[in-house]
Amino acid sequence: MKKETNNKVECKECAELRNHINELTLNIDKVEDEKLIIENQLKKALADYQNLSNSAEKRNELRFFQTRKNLAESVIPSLDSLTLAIDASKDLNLDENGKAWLSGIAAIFQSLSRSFEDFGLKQYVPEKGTKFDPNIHEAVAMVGEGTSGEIYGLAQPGYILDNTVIRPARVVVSK
Amino acid sequence: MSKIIGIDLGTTNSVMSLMEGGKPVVIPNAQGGRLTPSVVAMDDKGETLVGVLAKNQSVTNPEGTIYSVKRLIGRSWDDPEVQRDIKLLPFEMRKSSNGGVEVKMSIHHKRYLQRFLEK
Repeated sequence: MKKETNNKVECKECAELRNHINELTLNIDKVEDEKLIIENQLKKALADYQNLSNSAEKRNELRFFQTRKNLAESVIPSLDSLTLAIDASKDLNLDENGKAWLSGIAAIFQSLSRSFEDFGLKQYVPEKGTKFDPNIHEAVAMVGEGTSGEIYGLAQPGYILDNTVIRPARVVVSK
Repeated sequence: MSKIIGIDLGTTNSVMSLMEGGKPVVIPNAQGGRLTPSVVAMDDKGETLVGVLAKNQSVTNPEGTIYSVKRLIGRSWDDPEVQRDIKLLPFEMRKSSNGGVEVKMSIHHKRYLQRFLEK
C-alpha cells in the first residue's frame, strides 16, 4: 500500500517534471524563434546599412562630379572667348609692347589650362579628316567639300571631365 | 527592390527622377547631365540614338532626327497646329490609319517607319 503511494508520488513528481520539461521546451522554442527573428532583423539592418553606405558613396561621388561639372561649364565660355581673342590677335599689327603683352596673356591662358587639367578638365581638338562621332563631336554645320562624314573644320574645342564629355567639340562636317 | 521612376517628358528636354529616402533624386544621363534632350535619331547603320548623341548629330541627319515631337502627341492630322508644324519640322510625317500623326524616319537609302504617335 505504501509502495503504491510512493509510486503515485513518484508519478506526480514525474508529471511535474514532464510539465516543467514541456514548459522549458516551449521556452527554448520561443527563444529560438525570437533569436531567428532578431538574426533576420540584424541581417536586414546590415544589408540596409550596406545599401545606404553604397548609395551615400555614389551620391557623394555624383555630387562631387556635378559640382566640378557646373564649375567647368561656367568657366568654359570664358576659356572659349580667351582662345578666340588670342587667335584674333594674330591678324593685328602689334608693336613690340603689344606682342609682349599678348605673350603674357597666352602664358596666363596656358597656366589656367594646366590648372584645369589638374582639376580633371581636359580640352580636346579633333583633327580635320577625323570621322564624325556624335559621342564626342557636335555638328554645327555641313559643307560640300571634303570626304563625306569627316570633320572639315572646328568651331569650338571639346572638353572632357573625368572621362565624361561635358561639352562635345563643335565641328563642321563634310556632306 | 524595384523602384518607380518619374519622367518629365518635355518638348525640348526630359528629366527622370526617383524617390530616395523620401526625397526626389534626379537620375543623371551618361554625360552627367540632369537634362536629357528629347531627341531620338537613327544613324546610317539603323541604330537608335537618344538624347545628347541624337542632338549632336542632328545637323548631319535632319531627316532621321526626331525632336519637338511632344507637340504632336495626341493630336489629329487635321489639327491646325500639326499642319503648321509639318511645314517647320525637317522629318517626314503622314496621316496614320486612325487619323493621328505618323513620323517617317529617312536614313540614306533605307527607310524606317516608326509609329510614335497615336491619336
